Amino acid sequence: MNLNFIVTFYIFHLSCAWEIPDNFAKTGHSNNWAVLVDTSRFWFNYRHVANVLSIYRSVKRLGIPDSQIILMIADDMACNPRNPRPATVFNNIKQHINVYGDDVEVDYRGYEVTVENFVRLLTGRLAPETPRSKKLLTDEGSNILIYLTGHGGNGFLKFQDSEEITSKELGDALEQMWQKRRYHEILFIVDTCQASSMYEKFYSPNILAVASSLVGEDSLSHHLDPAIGVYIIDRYTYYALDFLEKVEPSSSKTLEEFLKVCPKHYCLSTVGVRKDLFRRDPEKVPVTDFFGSLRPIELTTSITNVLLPAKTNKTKAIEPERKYSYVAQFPDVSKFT
Amino acid sequence: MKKQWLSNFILAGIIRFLLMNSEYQKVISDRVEVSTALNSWKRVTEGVYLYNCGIDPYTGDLFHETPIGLYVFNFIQQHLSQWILFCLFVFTDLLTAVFLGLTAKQYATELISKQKIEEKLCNENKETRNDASIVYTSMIWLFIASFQINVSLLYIVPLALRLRHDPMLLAFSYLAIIAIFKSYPCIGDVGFYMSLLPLWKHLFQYTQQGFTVGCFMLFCTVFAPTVWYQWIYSRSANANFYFGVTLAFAIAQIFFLTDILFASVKHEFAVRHGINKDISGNTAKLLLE
Amino acid sequence: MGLLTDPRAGSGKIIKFLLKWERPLCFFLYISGIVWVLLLALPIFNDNTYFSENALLPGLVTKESNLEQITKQYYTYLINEMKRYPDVMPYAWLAAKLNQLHLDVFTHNFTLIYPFQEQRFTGQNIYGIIRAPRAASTEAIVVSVPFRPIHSIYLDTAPSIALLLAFAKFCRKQKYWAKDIIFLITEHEQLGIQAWLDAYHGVTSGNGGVLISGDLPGRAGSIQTAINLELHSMKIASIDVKIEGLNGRLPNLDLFNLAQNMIAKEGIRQSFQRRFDVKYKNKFKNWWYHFNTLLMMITSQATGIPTGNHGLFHRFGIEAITLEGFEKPGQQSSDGNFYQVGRIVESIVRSLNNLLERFHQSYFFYLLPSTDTYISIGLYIRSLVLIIGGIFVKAFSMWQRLQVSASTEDKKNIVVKQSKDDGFDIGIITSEILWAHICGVTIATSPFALTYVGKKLDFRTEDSIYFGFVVITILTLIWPFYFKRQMKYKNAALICVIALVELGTVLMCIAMHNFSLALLVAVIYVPYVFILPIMPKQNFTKFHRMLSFGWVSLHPFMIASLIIMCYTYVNFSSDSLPLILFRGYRAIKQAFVFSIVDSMIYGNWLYNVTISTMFPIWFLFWNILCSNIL
Repeated sequence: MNLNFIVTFYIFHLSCAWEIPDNFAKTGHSNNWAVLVDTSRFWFNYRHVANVLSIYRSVKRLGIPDSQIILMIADDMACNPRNPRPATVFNNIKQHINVYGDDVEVDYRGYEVTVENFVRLLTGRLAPETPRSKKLLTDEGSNILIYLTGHGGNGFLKFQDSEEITSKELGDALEQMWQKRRYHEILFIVDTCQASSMYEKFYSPNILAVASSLVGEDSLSHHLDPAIGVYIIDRYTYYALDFLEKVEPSSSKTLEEFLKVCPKHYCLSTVGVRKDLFRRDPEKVPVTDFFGSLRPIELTTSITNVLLPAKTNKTKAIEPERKYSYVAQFPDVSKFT
Repeated sequence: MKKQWLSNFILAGIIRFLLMNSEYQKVISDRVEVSTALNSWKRVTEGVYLYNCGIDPYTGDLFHETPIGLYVFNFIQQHLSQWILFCLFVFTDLLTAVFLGLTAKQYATELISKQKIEEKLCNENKETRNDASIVYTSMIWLFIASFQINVSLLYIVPLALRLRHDPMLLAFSYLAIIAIFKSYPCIGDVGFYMSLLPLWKHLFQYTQQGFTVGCFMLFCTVFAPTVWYQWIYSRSANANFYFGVTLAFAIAQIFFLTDILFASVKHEFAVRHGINKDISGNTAKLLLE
Repeated sequence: MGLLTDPRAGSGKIIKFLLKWERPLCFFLYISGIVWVLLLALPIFNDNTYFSENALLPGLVTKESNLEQITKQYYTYLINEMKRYPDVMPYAWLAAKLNQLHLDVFTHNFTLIYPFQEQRFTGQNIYGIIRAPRAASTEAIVVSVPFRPIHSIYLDTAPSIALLLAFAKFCRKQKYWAKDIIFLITEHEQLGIQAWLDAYHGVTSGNGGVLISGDLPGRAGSIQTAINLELHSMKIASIDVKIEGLNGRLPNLDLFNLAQNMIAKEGIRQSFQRRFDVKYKNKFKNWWYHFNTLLMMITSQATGIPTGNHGLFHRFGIEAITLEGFEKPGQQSSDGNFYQVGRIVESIVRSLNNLLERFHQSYFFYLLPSTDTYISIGLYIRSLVLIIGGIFVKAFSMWQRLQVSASTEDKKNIVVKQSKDDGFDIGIITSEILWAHICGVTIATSPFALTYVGKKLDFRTEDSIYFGFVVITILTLIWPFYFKRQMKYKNAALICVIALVELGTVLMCIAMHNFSLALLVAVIYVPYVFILPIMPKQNFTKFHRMLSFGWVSLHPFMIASLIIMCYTYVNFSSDSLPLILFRGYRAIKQAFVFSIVDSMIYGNWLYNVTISTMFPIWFLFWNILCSNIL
């Protein structure tokens, strides 16, 4: 509540804030979530892990906190023995950004990434003892970004080289989410071969679906890092990231622009978009509605006088700094010798 | 006659017993054609062991016998020594042979007497019918219907109806069908009904596919182990090769069984309407349609 | 269903057609089979090779090695060491060098008790293991080199040992290995590698008590693939990829492909069967060139003898090839190019390191007319199926004739007397077939007895086996004359039918393991089987007599001798005729001994299978040709 007050106060102070942007006021959602899934394992699928980690990095930079990102990664590329650069994952040969940095929180990893777990996560039918970090705690005000990458075919997406989720199953899961009021709007992005087949069976409202390729097309990788010896990112994701890098939390870039990030001569496959379930005009929707995070803000036009509780804040800040250190891995033997 | 039987049985028993105690025992028991998941003694032993350890033997994909079988085998393995067990095997085998032999003998005598009566009856009105090519439809349609549907359960009733006068042939067909459609095909099942083959010697002259079926079966029995070796040991051919051969073998058996059944129909017809195929100088042909 | 119920399928037009056109049809099938083999070398019948295995990631990674200098250093030291001990492998030096690189180094002793002579030979293999730094030691790659002493009759392999050491040094520093790498230097050519593999897997592949492999002091994971190196010079102009393994087994096509691609990438000429890819504009010339390459592969595969040490890995499900490097003829090695060669090995091993499973995606059954095209089993097997189809057509029509004659005979017999001999005499037929096969098995196991007798007479092994075989051949040839028998045509024909069916089945089974062998056997035997005069003796003409006498030349021992003679003539055509004959005679003697010894040490089944299956079939026909058919 405190924060609410402060923000309102500042808005009140900056007189320009009286004119709130149109689209900002009309979003209708109150929180943002992201479900980012890499479904394929094995060293030669390095690029899928890089894809999903890059998107993770972007949405985190744009403000969605880790607690609201469900990251599912089917294989641990960073620690693969074949990785010549252990404990890192790179997504671009030119800019050496390690997307597997210090603050990556993987919620579902390795063999936990299954169709069952994915559907249970979406529909909220998880066991009661499941930790919070593995739950999608959305409500009817949540905008969800779902990003899937892996190997797909016409009408299915392969999980772990052992099972598939079909487009029908996915459509049903989303409908269940809608009926249980688990979302407000969904931006569904899928980067696989024949990706558009994944959204063809959707029938629930408020979903905008983007696919990296049409049925009958392959989604191709973007480039190879010869130092690692594998393809490190897919084309669609590469250009999507290129766009997202230029987006700031306050940016006014719209979804329509996002939908055009990868024309055919870049992607080599045709990006498929399904807008008929989405009620708003993508031209008027800022990308931050999905990629960024909305703070819980209440807008008010009435003037309220608030006193800043400055003193109490200060005392809190001066709390003595405690230095933390790691506990020794092994007991100190020198004492005993 | 009795003496010959006895000597044969003793010889067979000794061979069986020696084989069980020789070094070939391991080779034979490892052959996939002989020892399948359904009849492997090793699996039974392991199942019983698991059962005694308090582990459910049915949880793994190892033990496929019935629960009663499990109790029986448990009893056998706990209370009988290795030697008695071997003797038990030999004894059951010999018992099977005795039963098969007696049944065959019984059937043969019955068949001869029945045939004599029928021939007598039929000879009287033999001259009345002598069409060069005889088409008879109504007797056959049940047959075709029964072989169109590929579920062995569906064979039971039509075959039983059609072969109600010849229970031995019916039993033979059932055995063959079981051998064909069994989930783990095994040489024992094939051998069981094949051993009854001499019963149908009188039908051989009416069969048509003898050569094809013979070649097919020979080819498959030789070919199967080679592709099995390539699949399991040298890893160059995959399971589909072996599976294909077993499929071909099943098809050969289907040809064989069909042939025998049609031959029996033709035989029946010949007995009823005269055996003489020679009609006004031309060899008549029996046509099934 | 129609096939089963329609009696016309059984005795109708098709059979009449078959009976009428039997011989032309058989020959048509045979010739179309041969034509099919000829066509296989045409470009339209070949597909370009491609990678089926996703995990391989061939050549994507930057090559980091530069092994030129270090290889040269090792080479100089090694040559010095080899000169100092010209007859033995410098065990200590090799072990020390590997130890210096901090590998797990072990030596492996093995003993060969030479069959027939009870002589003992010993040998030693040296191997070092680099453990995968960040993975469990569950899988391994082998890089092997056969050591050859300085006076060896084979081409020198010292450069490849130097490269192996240099590459081991390079690998030791890398952190990306997901599999253990075993660096193996073997002694005594294929004996060493066979003993090592047997010891590694704890089995005995050949006969017991011949090659005693002992145990290994150290092991790595299960071996996935192996690369055998035979580089004959420090300046490599071309690299030949050898694939034919024991009993004609081939490695997965992906591995062959990988090697060819990596060699091409480094700018060294790649070849297959020592033949480079030459593209002629003339279509006929082009076809002829490819056909020759194909034929060379078929002949080398048919012998079942591995063309290099790689061939012994295949038995264990390990895909392996040999890279044999040659210098340009007439060129002195001034400056080496092991920079490139090292990078070829590096990139191959690096790709193999990426594998997640054993090779299984691509073909195991294929023929190669050049380095970059292949013929899959679906295409080439048809030629053999056509030829074998002819055999079955022949058998079937013979059988049908018997049926027809049986029924007509029946008719007469019924009228005249209820004779007993209207059917086949199963006893004669069975005993005939049984005896032929017993003879086959006896001859297959005869070498022990032969050498035993030979030793009493102070013969050398070669001589006792050769002369023993000569005696056996003569005996089998005169046997039917000696026991001149009468045989009914019907029984003789049924034996022929059974022999034909057996021939067809045996050929098909051999084809599954060694297509080339089956093809060659079929090409030689099948046409003769078609024209064999199986008929009552009174109808025999001079031509028939000649034909049946010609069957002698197809006795397995005779045909083997003939082939070796021809081979000697082709290789030494400049020599005088007596010299060629003498050379051929010696070669035959050696070939017999080698094929028997190979079957005992390595489990090569060429000798056993030909003698225990082809000989009985030959013998059955020969008996019938010589007996007095009524």
